[in-house]
Amino acid sequence: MALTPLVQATGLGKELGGRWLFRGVTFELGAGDVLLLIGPNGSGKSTLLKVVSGLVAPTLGSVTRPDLNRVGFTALDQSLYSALTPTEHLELAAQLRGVEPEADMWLRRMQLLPQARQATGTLSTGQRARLKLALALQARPDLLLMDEPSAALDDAGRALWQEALQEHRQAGATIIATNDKEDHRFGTCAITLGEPK
Amino acid sequence: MAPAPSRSANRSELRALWRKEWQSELRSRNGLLAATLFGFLAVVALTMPASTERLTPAVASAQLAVVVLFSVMIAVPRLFLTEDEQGTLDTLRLWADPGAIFLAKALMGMVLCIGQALLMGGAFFILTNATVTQPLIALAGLVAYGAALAATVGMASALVPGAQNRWLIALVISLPLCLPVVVFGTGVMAAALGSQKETSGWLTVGVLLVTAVATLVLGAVSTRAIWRLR
Repeated sequence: MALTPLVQATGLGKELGGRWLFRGVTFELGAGDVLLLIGPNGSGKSTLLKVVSGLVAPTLGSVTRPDLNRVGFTALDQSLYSALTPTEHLELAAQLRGVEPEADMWLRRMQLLPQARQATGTLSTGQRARLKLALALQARPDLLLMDEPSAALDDAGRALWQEALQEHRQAGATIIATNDKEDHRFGTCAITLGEPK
Repeated sequence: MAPAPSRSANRSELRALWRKEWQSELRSRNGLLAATLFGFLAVVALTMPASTERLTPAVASAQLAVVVLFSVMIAVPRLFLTEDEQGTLDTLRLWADPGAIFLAKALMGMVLCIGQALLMGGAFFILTNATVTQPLIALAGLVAYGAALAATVGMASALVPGAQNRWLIALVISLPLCLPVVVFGTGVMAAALGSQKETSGWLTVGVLLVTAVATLVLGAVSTRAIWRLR
């Protein structure tokens, strides 16, 4: 794979409730690499993404990745603040990560400008998915982690994330957990996780 | 274990988190309303005996300290645990230093609790017809007591995100930690009502303020360590 790895995982394993979700997961990714995590429901794809992001500690192994400010994360089950507007989300995330919010640009790009001042709790699932994508991309991350990125999106939304992915992969690494076969064409490598043991 | 996030809290981070807490609180108002309603009902219920017989300063100060304690127990854990249950805490952990998240939430809890302590204290003193011989100690005491309780309950609540029965565990950890704070709170109220010396009252205010600051620092440090290990 990559000559200069942006992310390195060595022998990752996660045990939950006395069973191993996965064990011995090793990979390294550099700019342009898109790793697909494939496997049945419950095989640990989402957990592996969280381990790589640092949200969950692995039971075994280690991960080296960019600073969290340089990691973008979007997941179907990721929660947003229902009382805050999309603009406020983008401003909050930007201030915390020390980047320019560029809220209007991101909302226009994700076709969310009409909802800019609307409480996020009133947005549809697909609109929230677009906002999560904008939040993940806002800091121009070196590593982009995406959990079922196209699951809640309509055709227009899918086109947006595919375009965003193509743009991101020019400079960064990507890991996508997906069971959607349409997404598989973006992968440059894949790891198939099995049934938990 | 994944390498720990290499962030450190800074002022702009804290400001942004504080603004988020304010916006969420002002727009939902759930916790504020629940705690205020509880405090008001508790104060009214406790002051009923005062209509027939005068409460001694010792009893009155203990009653007020306990009402403020339970009001804080309603308001503060919610700041941490509701966000954990909703999943937004994970989103926040991706963006911010855990210590800064703790500080913003604990400071928000302090503001809410100080406001409630002052409101409840004022209502209590008026409804019980209590003679406040040291009004400045009463004022400073309520502020310091509210702050120390908020920091203590905040720290206990920050230790349990992700745990099953997190609300119960937060309560179980909070109560013993709050016991000395309640003792000092009772003492400072007793001083305000004239049953203890003025110097003792100010000393207790100082102890409560030091407790609040020390607990904030300890909470920020322990949150950083614990939230990384999940």
